[in-house]
Amino acid sequence: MMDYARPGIVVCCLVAGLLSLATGASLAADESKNETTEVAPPYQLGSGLRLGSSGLYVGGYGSLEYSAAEHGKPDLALSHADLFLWWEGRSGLKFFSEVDGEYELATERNPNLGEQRILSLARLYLDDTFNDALTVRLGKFLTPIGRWNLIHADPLVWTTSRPVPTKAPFPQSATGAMGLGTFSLLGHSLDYNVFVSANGDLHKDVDETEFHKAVGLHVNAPVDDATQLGFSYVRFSQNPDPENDQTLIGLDLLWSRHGYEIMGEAIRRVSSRGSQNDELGAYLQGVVPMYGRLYGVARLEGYHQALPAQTIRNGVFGLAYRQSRAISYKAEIDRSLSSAGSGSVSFLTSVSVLF
Amino acid sequence: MRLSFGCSLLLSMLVLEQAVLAQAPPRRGIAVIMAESSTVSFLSNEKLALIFKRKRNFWDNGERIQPVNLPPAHPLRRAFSQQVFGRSPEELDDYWRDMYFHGVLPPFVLASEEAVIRFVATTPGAIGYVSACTLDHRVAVVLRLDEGPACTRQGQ
Repeated sequence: MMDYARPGIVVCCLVAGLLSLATGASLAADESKNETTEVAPPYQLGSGLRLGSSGLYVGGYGSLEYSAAEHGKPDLALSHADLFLWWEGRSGLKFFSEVDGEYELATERNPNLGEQRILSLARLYLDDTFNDALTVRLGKFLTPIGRWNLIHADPLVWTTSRPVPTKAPFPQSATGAMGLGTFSLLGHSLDYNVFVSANGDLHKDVDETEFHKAVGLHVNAPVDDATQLGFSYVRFSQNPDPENDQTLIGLDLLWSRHGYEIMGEAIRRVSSRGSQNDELGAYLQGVVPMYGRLYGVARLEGYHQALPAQTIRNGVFGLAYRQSRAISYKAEIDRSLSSAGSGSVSFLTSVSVLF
Repeated sequence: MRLSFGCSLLLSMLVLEQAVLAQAPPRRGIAVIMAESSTVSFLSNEKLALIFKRKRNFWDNGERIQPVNLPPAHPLRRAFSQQVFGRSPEELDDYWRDMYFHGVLPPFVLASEEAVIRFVATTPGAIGYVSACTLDHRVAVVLRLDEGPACTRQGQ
């Protein structure tokens, strides 16, 4: 009960602190008064709510999901209700937090599929931006590996389900320090993230793993107007087995043009305990515009896991209707096959809203 | 006699000038503008794209960059988006959806070119764009983009 209440208390304290900070900021905002009076935008769904001239914003997203698996009961659930609260000052300081409410309401919950009622702190960090090439981030942040993990929210992705290679081989968040920024190299702008993490996670989702220690980087480079390539390299160990040192190498790709999109990631995780503990996986997803804002989506993925040793192959075929930048509807059929002989088909549909 | 001839000549020249101006095609193109007092004299297309994607947030002197946009349906915004990003404002929706997830919002939107000029002229670090024909002494041009909708108003 105490664990459940703790993130709420933390957020209440942060809100109180930020509101007092915001009050001070608004008193000192006379210099930029003409700016704020001229351009304070009206609220729009998917753009967050700006609280006056304080620099404080509130936003988030919610997702209602219906799933019907071959060997399970159908389930209608509020799979995510996440609240963002952030503050950005003119000096380069920025605070960002995300509280994640999972399966707060559900007709059925299947803990084996991660369907548990959980309130967790998904992100909580402070950024200090020195210049465009260097921002220092302290706190809890999304692990910068690949592409999907950094944009995993339901309204941002094309399918209700998530590819296994983007969640199985590493903890999705890290607590520690990160340097990030954009710089120019040979006429291209490169985005980078370098991070270190130690001693567990800050109020993690009970369903997720956590780093014991980690050091890694992700680099993203645009190849042309339509194509981006990324590279990840991380050395880490995880709780509760900190003696198992692991090295992860990943490649990711995004190509998008006129509504068409190809996205993919490949990942290899090597264990210090021998090749029987190595894991390997990849996915490739294509999106095709069909009619107006209706898109067809297909994804193939494969993942070889170490314990228990098996290879999983998934095929996902679906439709996504993006009513606006903030609202999307999805429906898909997921077919899963395991080298252990099991297989299943499930139907997933969801509506998600950025607010 | 000489006076009336001079007056006639002057009148003819004025009429001719008006006729030429009326028939001349309106000036096209987009002017990227900053305040007249700005220390920035030139911007490349690449830097401009980074600024309007909120990837470049600070000028070289450390001042925060404040980009402003016109509404997505405005012909000038559409031309600007195509020339700078090679995409329409709607095609950038995915990008801004992802950025919002990290607490980064798109540039503020102002309703008119006059509002952009006023904002840019009075806000430190601000940058915007207007039709080349609407420029005046309040702002300085740091980049010109060739393509743009036909001008609806002659320069001042």
